[in-house]
Amino acid sequence: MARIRITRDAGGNVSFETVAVVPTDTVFFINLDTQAEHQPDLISNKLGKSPSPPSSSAQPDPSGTKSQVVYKCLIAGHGNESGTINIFPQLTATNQKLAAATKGQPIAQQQVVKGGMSPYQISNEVFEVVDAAGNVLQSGPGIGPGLQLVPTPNNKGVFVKGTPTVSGTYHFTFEVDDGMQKNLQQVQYSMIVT
Amino acid sequence: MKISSGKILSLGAIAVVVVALGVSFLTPPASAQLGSKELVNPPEIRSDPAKKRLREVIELVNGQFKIPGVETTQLRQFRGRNAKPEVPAGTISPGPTLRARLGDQIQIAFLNKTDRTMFPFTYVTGRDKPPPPPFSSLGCDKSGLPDGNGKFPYPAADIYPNCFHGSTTANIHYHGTHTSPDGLGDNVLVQVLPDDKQRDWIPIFNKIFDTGKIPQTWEDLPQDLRDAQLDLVKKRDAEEKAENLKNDLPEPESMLKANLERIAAHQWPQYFIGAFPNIFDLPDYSSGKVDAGQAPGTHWYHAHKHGSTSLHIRNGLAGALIIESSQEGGYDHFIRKAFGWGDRYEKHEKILIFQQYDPIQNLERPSRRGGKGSNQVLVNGQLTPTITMRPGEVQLWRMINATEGNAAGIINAGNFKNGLFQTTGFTFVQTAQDGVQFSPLNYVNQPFLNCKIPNGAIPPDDPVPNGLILAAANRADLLVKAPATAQNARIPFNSQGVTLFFVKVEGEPVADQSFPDTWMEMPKFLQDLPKPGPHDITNPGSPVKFQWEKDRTGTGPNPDPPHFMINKKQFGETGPIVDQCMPKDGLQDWVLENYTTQIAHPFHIHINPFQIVEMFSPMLDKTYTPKDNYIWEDVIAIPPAKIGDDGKVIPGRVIIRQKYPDFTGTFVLHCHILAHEDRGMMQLVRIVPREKYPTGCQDHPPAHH
Repeated sequence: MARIRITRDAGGNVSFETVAVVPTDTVFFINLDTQAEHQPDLISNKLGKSPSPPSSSAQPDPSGTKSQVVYKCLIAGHGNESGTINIFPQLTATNQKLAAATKGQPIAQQQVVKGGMSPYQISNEVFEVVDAAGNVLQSGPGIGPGLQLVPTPNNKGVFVKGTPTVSGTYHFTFEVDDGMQKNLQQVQYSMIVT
Repeated sequence: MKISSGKILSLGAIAVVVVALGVSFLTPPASAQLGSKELVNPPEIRSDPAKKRLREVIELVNGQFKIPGVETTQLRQFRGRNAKPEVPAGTISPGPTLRARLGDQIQIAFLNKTDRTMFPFTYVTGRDKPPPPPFSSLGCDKSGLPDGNGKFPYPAADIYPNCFHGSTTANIHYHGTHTSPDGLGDNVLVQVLPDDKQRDWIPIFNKIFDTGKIPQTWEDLPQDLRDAQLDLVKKRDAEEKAENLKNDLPEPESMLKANLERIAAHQWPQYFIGAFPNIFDLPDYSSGKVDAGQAPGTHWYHAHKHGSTSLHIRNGLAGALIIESSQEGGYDHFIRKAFGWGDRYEKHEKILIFQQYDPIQNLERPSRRGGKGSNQVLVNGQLTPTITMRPGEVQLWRMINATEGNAAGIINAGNFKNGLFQTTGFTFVQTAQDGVQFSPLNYVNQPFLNCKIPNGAIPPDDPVPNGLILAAANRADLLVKAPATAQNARIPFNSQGVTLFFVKVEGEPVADQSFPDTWMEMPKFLQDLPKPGPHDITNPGSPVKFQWEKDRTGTGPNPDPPHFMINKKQFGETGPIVDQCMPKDGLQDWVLENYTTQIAHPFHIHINPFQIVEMFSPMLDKTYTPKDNYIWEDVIAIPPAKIGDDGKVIPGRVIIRQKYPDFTGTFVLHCHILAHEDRGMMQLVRIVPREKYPTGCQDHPPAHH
């Protein structure tokens, strides 16, 4: 869910916020402009003067195909007022079972998180490397000896790269918050290293 | 999936069978579950034993909070000013655990500090002019795009006040307490509007609290409090009127007028701005001053503003209210003594508050389906946390289902379904239900864990026919014993195949911990109620029928969602009328019936618990008719109806027995799937002095919701 606040500064300029959402999100318009009513064309009902009734929520793109929606005010005299809603795919985990790797050999970079919006903030990385019998060989913070997470700066998700240095099965997880403040955590990843 | 094995739990000479499932998590991978953090009991504040009072400031605040696994979003939260440890900024949590003893006085300063500019489209009063009933949809929250006729996807066909509305307004219901429902007690008819720039109310509230005397009337409140509140209500009226006129809307109902009418009738006003003091006693039966005491046990509190109970519970506005026994032989004294735990539970006790966190209602989404937050159950605001136990250790788990009760796939129709207590290697014994201890016989027989009660919505082909089911708002206390040996991996505890939390068994074994062979006797006031006799006044409002409009029994929109009704009526539909009126000290059997299929409606009535005398599930074709040792509850999921071969509806049925000692006043009963309550499945209830029955039943009932 995102909130879009419509405000008026001391100079009389009305500001329509830019927000980012996922396709299933609902946006709420909050009209904090005490002087004027607004009617963003995303919703056909009028936003009254602050605090404005009646409904102000809508799904920006019910078709689920657009990456950006520009909303404008339809009321006479407010035609130049507009804001932008950027739409990104859902933040989701992928490749929870990573391709097998060889100890000491660089791995092919693989994606572990897709969708969402940059920047991706990584935290709470934790790993275990276990042998075939399930005995824990190593554990601690990070995603395992020799491996690193690579958040992309261009909304392309998060990748794993590096050169594993221990034989066994790497198990790891991490938490990620993206630029829309969507969150993933406790997703379990594994990679067999021989 | 089939039932594959059983486990014998010995309690003295009588064997109790706990059904076990043969499922894949018996040998979980070694890595399960990386990233799971240790379960943290919510922050807590205890009563002062010297002053025999629990005093706390509970603030309702809003801000950006992270829902684990979902998003950081705008939510409302309860925070205790003095509870420890403090909740980190931006972290969701239940409200503070309030821990008191029988005989204590609860003194809560409730401050609604919500910034209403962040939630500007939600009214507390109706907008129709003149005020009906019946109301229209004016006053209901609206969402989505209107169609050509100006009809919004929500409220669709909902009608004020039985629609989602007024979410910036709140109050606190102390669920499970036996206390006064009026005035400053467990009063859910009061409406505390938001005020994020409010004055410091604490000194003026403390003037009330310091006396220890509970104000009985509005006139008993300090003059400065009354003057200040009426002035604020007057100003808020003016603000709302100006906003409405600015936006070409009808003038709203006047809250001041409503308050003054109530005051003139020597009743409590309903509207307060920003703050409200709750003060009530937890009556101790052993004092000899009450006819029935407060049951010591696991109770809870949550916001109870009609129209927003469900949204508030989705914001996590709930917390535990633990009421402990006051003397040797009492519930907590007995358990702690049995295990040598001393005067406090400390690490031996886990409080598990199950919640769904979502900032938006399902019906207010374009899909009308739950989002990610609705479909995951958190424990104390944590995603699949871990409880650590030593091998052979026994812990007391206090479990509270504080969900809205409709998370598809996890909690079906208000119920936790089976799985949690079928984890191989652990043994369980239930000690209390809904904050009322089990009788010795029920302790031995374990009727819930042994699948004796046809509780809730269980389809006939369900792999497990029954077991411990926590409908929304049910609580259960369980003694849990860990396996005797350490485990390599965390053990998942699942419900409907979805992991709710893990248990890690590690460290040095604990020797010689076993469940008590014998159980404490029930206090006299919790012994079986006698069957009502010819001199007991019967309830004309029974059976209490949970239903939708005529000819509607199935779920889903048609094209609009159904109207939620009790006895063919939505809450307040015919004006301010008390729907159920009972004489003080009356003893009654009520029949509860469910005429809807697929959904078990959890019936809840405030102020007094009841005993389950009979249950019938038409879907299971199973009847539960205990001869005695009736289980006490304050929420019971009425089994869903079945359509018979002749096309007629066969309702699910429960018979409850209840008594009305100690307190008179006005309160409610309702479905505890709180979206159903918000949308009309509620009745106004009143207990009147015996000499005023029935003449006083309709004496100035509250009109505003």
